[in-house]
Amino acid sequence: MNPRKNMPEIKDMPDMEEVLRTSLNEKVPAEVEARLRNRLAAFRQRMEQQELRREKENPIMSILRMAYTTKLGRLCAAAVMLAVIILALGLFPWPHTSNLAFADVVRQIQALRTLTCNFTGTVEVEEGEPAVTTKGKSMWMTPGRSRNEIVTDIPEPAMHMEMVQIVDAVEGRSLGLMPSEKKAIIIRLEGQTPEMQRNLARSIVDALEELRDGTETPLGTRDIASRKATGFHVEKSGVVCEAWVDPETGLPIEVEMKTKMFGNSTITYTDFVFNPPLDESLFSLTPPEGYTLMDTPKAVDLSPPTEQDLLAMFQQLREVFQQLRESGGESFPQGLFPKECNMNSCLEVIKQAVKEKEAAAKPQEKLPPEKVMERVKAMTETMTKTMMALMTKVTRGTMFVQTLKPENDFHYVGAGVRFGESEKPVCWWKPDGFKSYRVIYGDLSVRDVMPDNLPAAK
Amino acid sequence: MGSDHREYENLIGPIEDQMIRSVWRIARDADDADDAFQQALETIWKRLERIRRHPNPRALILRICVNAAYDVLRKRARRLRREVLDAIPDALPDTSPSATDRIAAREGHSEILNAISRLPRSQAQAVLMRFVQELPYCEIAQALGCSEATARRHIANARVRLQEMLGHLTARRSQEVRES
Repeated sequence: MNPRKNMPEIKDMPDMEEVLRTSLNEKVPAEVEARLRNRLAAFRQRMEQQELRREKENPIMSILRMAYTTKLGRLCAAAVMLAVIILALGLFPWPHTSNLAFADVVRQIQALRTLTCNFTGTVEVEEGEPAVTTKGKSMWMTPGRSRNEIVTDIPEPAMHMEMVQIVDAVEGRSLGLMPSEKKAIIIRLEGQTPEMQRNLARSIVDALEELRDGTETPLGTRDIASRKATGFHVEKSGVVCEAWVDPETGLPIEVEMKTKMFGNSTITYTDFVFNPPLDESLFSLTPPEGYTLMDTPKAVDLSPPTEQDLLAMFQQLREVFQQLRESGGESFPQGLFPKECNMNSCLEVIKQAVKEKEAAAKPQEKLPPEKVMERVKAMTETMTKTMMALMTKVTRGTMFVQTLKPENDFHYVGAGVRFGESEKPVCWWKPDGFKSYRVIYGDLSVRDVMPDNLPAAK
Repeated sequence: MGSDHREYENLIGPIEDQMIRSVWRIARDADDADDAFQQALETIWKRLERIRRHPNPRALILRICVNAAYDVLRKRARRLRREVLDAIPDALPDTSPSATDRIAAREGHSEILNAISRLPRSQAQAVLMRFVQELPYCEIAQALGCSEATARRHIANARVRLQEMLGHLTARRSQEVRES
């Protein structure tokens, strides 16, 4: 039945509104008002206490908890991680230490002023769960500028994320844009090397060539897009790289990188174009009109990593474990050092600890996917910032180890050592020009030890 | 002042009076108002995340208050009907809503509130937000999560239902106005 069919005209009931208004307009008696105000005062106190607790909790914990213990949280974190990995590749070009082997290639690479390529990526967070996919375009321009346009899709329930990251190593700033939310983030960069400032495009190609250091496995030749390509396979710091290059010039045609940083991640770079015309405006660091600036995180340090960065990485891991203990009680064990000193192992050890903690905790109300989605959307900003901060520390720590040469004699024996174990060594190395070794122990103390007294020598 | 006071001041502070008034005007009983207010605050607590992200958080909070008071109202109406039936076990000649309403109407404005308690929830909420909280249609629409046109329709439909149930009150009011 249509209720409007028998609806009287408004003019037939002129007084209904007045009757409602006058009848429902009674003053609140003083004693009732006092009772209700008491309720409000208690509620206010409850809100304030919650906010204090929230301020005390490290945002990393809430992010990690969500990232490792809910399916959608894992997928969203994977999407953010993919973006962070791609951005990290832009911010931290691969180590640049040796000279090029081929004189004819050098000439071509030195003439390289702009470079573009496309990339596609997937992350399988857990076996059997749908993969997060990403695609986009990377551009580099001399001097020291890069732009990444990243589109990420999360399945079930579908979520689409877009991000643009522009880095200018000369200006010392990076601009991140989230077009769907019209948000911009500006990060200050510190400690850029002259190499990064001079020719970022060239350093990317140089770095690829440097992967061929004698440890690679040749993959033979194959045709890619009607071009002959020779391939090689190399594994470094937990990253498996399969690169296909032009046999005559050494320039890349297709590069695939696989890591297990967060599930199984694969990123493939294709369609390399050398010296394409690129508009300067693509690298502008001014946010487009209508964008709001997000809370600016601390500056990202791009200077060559040092011992302090390795310690900062371990301190970051210890902080995560401390947070777990504080929220989980003293019964939660002290965290373990990673099995190996690389990014995969660092993230793996955090993942295991968060999962153990959640398994031991009182089961929480299971949120339906749309609620998780709401929460994740609300946390995207914090998640990006937190993951960036965590990844920056872990990246710089592991980069320090990568920059050590064979004569620095680096050893890592942290597998099985718990944070706080002051007598157990975690790693040691011999700094350039020193006779003694630097040894880091489980309590993160650092001691100078002569070769004869090294833990392994005992 | 630290950031810990900011959220309460932003969300609740400016509408404290409106929250108290609206719950009282609907419940009209000290204990019922207290129960409704406690329930409303519990709901606000549980939905704090959603409230923070709502386009009009204060309107949503006021809707939660109205809803809690409306629930109290409906419970009371049901209780009254049961009391009527219990009070006249042998007679049972007339258990129609009009009979129970007449008994309910013995107390002041409860006839109107009782009529509102018979409305569908969305209509009742819209009417109460309009006439108790005096919110504009756009805010009612935001609080209900519907278009402004739909909010207007809820109120128009509610007025039709209320006219049917409370027509004698408007007639009496018209007569009073004419006589004065």
